[in-house]
Amino acid sequence: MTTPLLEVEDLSKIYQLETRSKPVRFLREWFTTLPDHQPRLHAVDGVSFSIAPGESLGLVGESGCGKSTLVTMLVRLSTVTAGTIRFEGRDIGAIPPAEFGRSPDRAKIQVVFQDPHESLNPRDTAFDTIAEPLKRLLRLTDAREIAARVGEAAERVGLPAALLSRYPHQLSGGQKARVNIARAIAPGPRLLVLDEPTSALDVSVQAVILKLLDRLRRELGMSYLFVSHDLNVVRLLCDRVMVMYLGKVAEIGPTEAIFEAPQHPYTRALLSAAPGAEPAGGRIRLDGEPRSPVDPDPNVCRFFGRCPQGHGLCERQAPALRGVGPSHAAACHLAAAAEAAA
Amino acid sequence: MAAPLLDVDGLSLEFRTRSGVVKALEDVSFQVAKGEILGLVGESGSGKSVSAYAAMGILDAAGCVTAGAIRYDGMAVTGAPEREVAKLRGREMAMIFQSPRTALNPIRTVGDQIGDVLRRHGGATRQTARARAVEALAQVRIPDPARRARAYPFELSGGMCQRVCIAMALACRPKLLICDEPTTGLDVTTQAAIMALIVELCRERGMGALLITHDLHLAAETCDRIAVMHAGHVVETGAAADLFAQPRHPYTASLIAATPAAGRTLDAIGAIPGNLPDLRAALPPCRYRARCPRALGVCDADPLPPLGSGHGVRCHNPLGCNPMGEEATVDHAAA
Repeated sequence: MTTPLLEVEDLSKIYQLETRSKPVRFLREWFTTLPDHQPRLHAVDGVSFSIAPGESLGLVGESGCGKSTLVTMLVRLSTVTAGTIRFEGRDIGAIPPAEFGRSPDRAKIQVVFQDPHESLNPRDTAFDTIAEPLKRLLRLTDAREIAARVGEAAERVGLPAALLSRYPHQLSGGQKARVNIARAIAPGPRLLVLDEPTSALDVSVQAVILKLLDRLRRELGMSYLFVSHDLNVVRLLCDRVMVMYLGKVAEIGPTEAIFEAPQHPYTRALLSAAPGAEPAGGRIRLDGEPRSPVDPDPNVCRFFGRCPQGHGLCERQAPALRGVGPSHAAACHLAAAAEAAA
Repeated sequence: MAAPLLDVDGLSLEFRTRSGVVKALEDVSFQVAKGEILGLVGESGSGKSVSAYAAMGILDAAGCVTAGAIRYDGMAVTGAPEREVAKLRGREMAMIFQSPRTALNPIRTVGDQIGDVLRRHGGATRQTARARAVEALAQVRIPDPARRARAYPFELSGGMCQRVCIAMALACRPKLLICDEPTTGLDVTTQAAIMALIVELCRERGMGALLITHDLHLAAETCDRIAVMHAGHVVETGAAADLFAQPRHPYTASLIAATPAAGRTLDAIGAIPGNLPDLRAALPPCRYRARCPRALGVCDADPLPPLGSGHGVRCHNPLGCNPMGEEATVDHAAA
């Protein structure tokens, strides 16, 4: 087996919530010896997965489930509380975010941000935007070389050279999306993190951008981590899908297995809620609020309370991720039981 | 048939800007009946939101209606004095805006904000406003409404904020609800819950709703009827099921073809060539002309056929009819 491009093990991000003001804390320390419990928010909690070279992994889940926190850790914009991130076999999780900017790996992991309209600097032309990572990360100084690389990236994404001198406000939504993608692929990344790349685009443009992304992956042999709400889009572009719920992996497996035979009740609810889906057993409506990510009870399933099938065991023991099919795993007691019975 | 709740009749609208006159809407007609949900779909820039803003009488000062009329329950909204229209807003018709976080005031609690609406339009007093705000929050199924009423918008999730906006819009029991992309940026599970709530309220209270969206799946699922807009024209209208099963305007067909769906591969998705035309320039009678694969000679010269009732289409050469001779096509479309 080839070594994975990215290997994430037991990754956690826990935020300490500051609840007491400084004077209160000071007085407390002065007058009492009681342990001071500070609530902790478990944004990402023990997540493990890997991405093979050239593979495309979809990451879905509702807002607040830790998708973005996970992404900011992977691209080293935020620190890691626990766990390791290995990129091409090298441990990059321990490098502080401020130093990672100077790491040679920084150019190999690039991000395409959500909103093409807002993620471009309005005062930079398309050329400046695409040239920025070449200057900063690859430390290119030769103007001719930079121009050649920018031209090459623009050509790959189908951006006419005549548009390179334009400012963002002079470009259409689809063209801005292309500039964003060109900026990300210019330094020759191995891993492209795509954070909802098409959610701000019209359907008429979305199809073109999706096809472009699919072609680029094959041409350049990049791996994708594709973060999206739109399950129909994930299905088109991804080899495997990872579903997150409240900081934990609920289910991970090959795209077809996830869509055809979802094992986790949350995945089933998610699939049935997608507009256009016609679920066989009717739409699963999730009632109730998600559990709080602040100091979660380690012995209760994160989905308990909203889960239509939750029962006694789910409240006593949190389910671990376990295999339910070929390279398909789900964190649910019921999924495992179904497997054993079959 | 009873008079429609909202009747937009041949509306043309322009924005006078420094860079020229933008002909944002031209001869736009659609109706919303009581208890009915009408979907307005189309690309951004096709005039969906402008139509809604015109109906609410909250157009930008640069906008000016050049022809046609908007009637709410028989009363003309266009040309009516601002005082009269202001009376309708909130009480008779209410609007849910696209981004809930920017629609709410960040420095006041959501309960206070709903209370304001109730005191202004719903006849609540300072004493009763609080309790009625909590009631309004409970109605949109916000758990623990009494506590949430004291929360500031930043303390709530996006889905919660949108529910607060819906609660605010519904607080005075309007007869018409205009939703401008109510679920963009929300999770699919939250989206399903919010759309189910809107549909339920329409059925229960006989409220009419205008749903603006660019999500065709969502429109197909929620709406009774759909109006497809392109560059300021309504190009096709019909019952949701008919329109999606048998689109007649080439633009509708390509919109449907461009939408990713279950069982559709990447190759099967077609993009729509070209962009929306510049609405400041002189335009041909059919604004889809330059992007249309089925354009005929007649498209450049003749004005568009009228929309007609039922499953109507404004096209000289619609799909599903014989694209043979031009005369035959025109006859068919006019019939």
